[in-house]
Amino acid sequence: MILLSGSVNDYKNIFLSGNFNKDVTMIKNIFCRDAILRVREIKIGGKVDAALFYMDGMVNSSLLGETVIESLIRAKIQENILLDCDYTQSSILFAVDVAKTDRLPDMLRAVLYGDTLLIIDGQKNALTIDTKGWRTRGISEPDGERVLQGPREGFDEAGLQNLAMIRRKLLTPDLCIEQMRIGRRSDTHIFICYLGSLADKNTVKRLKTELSKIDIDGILDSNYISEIVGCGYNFLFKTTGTTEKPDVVAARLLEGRIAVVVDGTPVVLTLPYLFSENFQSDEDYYVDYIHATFSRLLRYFCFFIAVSVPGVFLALVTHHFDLLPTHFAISVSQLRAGVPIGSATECLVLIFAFEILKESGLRMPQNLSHALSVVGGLVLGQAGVEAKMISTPMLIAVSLSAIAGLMVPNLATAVTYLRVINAVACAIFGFYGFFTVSVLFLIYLLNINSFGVDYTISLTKPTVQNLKDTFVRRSWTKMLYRPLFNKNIVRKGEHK
Amino acid sequence: MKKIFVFLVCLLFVFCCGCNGYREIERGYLVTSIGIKKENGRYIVVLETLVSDGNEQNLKTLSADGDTLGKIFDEIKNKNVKKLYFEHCGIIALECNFSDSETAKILNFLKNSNLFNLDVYVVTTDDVYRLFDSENSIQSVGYDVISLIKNADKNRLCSQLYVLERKITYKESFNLPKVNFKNNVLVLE
Repeated sequence: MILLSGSVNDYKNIFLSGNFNKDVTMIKNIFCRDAILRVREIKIGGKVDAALFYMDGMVNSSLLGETVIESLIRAKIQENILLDCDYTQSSILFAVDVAKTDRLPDMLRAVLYGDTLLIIDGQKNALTIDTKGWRTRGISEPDGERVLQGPREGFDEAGLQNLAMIRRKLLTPDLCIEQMRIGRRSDTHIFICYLGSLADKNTVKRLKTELSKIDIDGILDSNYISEIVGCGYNFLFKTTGTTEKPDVVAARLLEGRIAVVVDGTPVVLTLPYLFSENFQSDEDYYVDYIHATFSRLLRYFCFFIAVSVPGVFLALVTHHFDLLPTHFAISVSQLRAGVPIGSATECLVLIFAFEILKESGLRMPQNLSHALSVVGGLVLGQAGVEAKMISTPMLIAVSLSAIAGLMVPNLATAVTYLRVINAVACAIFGFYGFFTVSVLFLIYLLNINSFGVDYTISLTKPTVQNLKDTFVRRSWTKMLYRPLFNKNIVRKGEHK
Repeated sequence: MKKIFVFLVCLLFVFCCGCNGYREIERGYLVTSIGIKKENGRYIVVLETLVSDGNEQNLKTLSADGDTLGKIFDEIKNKNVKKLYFEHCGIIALECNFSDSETAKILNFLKNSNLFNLDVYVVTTDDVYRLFDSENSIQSVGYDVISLIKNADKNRLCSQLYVLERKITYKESFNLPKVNFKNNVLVLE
C-alpha cells in the first residue's frame, strides 16, 4: 500500500470488509515494514476467529494477557449469541478502556499509540483496547528548575502522565483538557489545558485555530509549537513560557493562562507569557516574600549587568575614559599595555570564548563539564592574562556579565545577542551607541505581544496591584488580583 | 527583500562610520599635569605624562615652545606618534612670572580648549622644569600636588584654590597656591 502523505488519514476511505483473513492481511500489509508489530490470532471462546494487533514494547504485556487474551480465550459463548463487537466489549473483555470504531485511521492510531486492536471474524467494526505500557523516564526533578523549597516533581515524556500530574494539583471540574493531533507522520498528541472560568475564551479559540493550521511532518518537542504559533519576528524573547514542573503549570493556569502539553516531551508551554515572568521563579512563591523580592530585584539587576557591562566598560576604556577615576584609568592602561589586540576585539573574543565554554559545558557529561569549566574558566583565563593575550579588566567585565547572565536563564538568547550588539555599538559609538541600542531595544520590547497581550503589560499598565508580583513579590494576603490580561481579575474574595 | 536591503544599508552605515572617537587607553600619553612658563616672550609648555610601556607605567616629560599656546599644543600633538589624553590632567602649574591678566588669558584658553576636565587645579611654581623633573620623583608630581592640596588645611587654601570650572574674570587678582621642591621634598606654600 502506498502512503500519500505519510499520515494515517490516508486510509480514511478504507474500511474493514468483514472477511477475517482479508482484513488481517490488509492490516499486516499496512505495517509490513514494521518489525515490532505483533499479531496474535486466537479463537474467542474456542469458536470465533479473532486477531489482536499490538506493538511490542508499547503495550503492558501482563495487562494484555490478563485482561484481553485470557478473557477472550476463556469466554463462554452460548449458541444463540451473536458474537459481535458490542457483546465482546460489554460481556467478555475485562479491560478498562475499550472503544468500538469502524474508521481505519482510528484503528491504526490506536495500534501506533500502544493500544491493542481486536478484529473479530465477520465484523466490519473493530475494538481498540487500552493496553498502553511503554517505559517512561519516571518522575524526577528537572535540572533547569531546581528548587531548595517546594515541590520537586517534574514532567517526563509521557503526555498522559503529565496531564495526571497537573490534574492532581487542580482537583476541579473547571480544568478543561482538550486533545488535538498534530504532525502528518508523528501524529503527536497535543493537550490544551485551561481553567474554564479563568482563561480567555478568545485566546483559547485563537490557539486552537493556529494549532489546527499547523502542517508539519512531526512534532517532537513543544518548541516546534512555540516557534510556529508564538513568536513571529520576536527572535530575542520567548512569547510562550516553558516549564517542566506541574506546580508551575498549575500556578499559571490559576492565573488564567493556557498550557499546551505535548506528548513525548517534558516541556510544557504556557501562554500568554509576559516579560516579567522571565524574572520569576517558582521558588519565589515557596520562600519568604521578602527574600523572594530581593532575589527578583537581583535578577532584574543581573539582566542589566549581563547585557550592558561589557559594552559600557568598552565605551569607557575606548571613548570616555575621562569618566574613569584617574587611578583606575592608570591601572587599566597599565594592565592593557602589551596586549596585542584592541579592546573591542578583545571584548568580542572573550564573549565568544565564554559562549563556546557554555555550549561545550552543556553538551558534556556532568563530571566532565566540571573539569571543562575549571580548565576553560580558570586555567585559560589565567594563562591568557599572563601571556598578555587578554587584559584582566576586560576579563573581569566579561566574566561578571557572563555570571550575571546565568541568573536569568529564560533570557539566555536575549542576553547573548544584546551583549554582543551593545559591545559592537559601544565600540563604534561609545555611550551614544549604548543609549541608541537601549532605546531601540525598548521600542522593540514594547511592541511584542503574546497572544494578544502586551508582553510588557506589567510595565505599561503599572497599577499597584499589578506591580505586587512584578518587580517585587508581596505576600499572598496582599495579592488580591490576577494579572491584568485576565478577564476574571479578582483573585481574593471574588464570591463574597 | 526590501527589508533585507534596508537592513544591509543600515549595517553598511554602521560599519563605514569608522569608529569615530575610538581610542585605546594604553596607546597614548596620559597627561597628568601641565606646566606653562614664558621666557623671552615665548611660551613654553611642559607636560608630565604617564605612558604604558610593556609591563610598566613610566613617567615622561614632554615640552614645546612657541608664540601662542594654540600652536604649542598643535606641535606637541603632531610631534608625538602617540596620542595625548588630557582628561586625567590634575594640575596646571604656571610659573610665577605671569601677570593676573596673562593668567586669566591662559586659563581662559585652556578652559575653552575642551581638552581638560574642569576640576583641574591651578597652582604656581618658581620653576616649571624643576617641578616636573622626573628625577625628583618616581611618581607623578601632578598627583602628588593633588594629594598635598587635599591634605592641606582647607581654611588656609580656600581662597587660593582655583579650578577651571570657576568663572574667569580679567579683573581678578589671582592668589594661587604655590608648589615647589625644597630639599627634594614637594612643599605647598
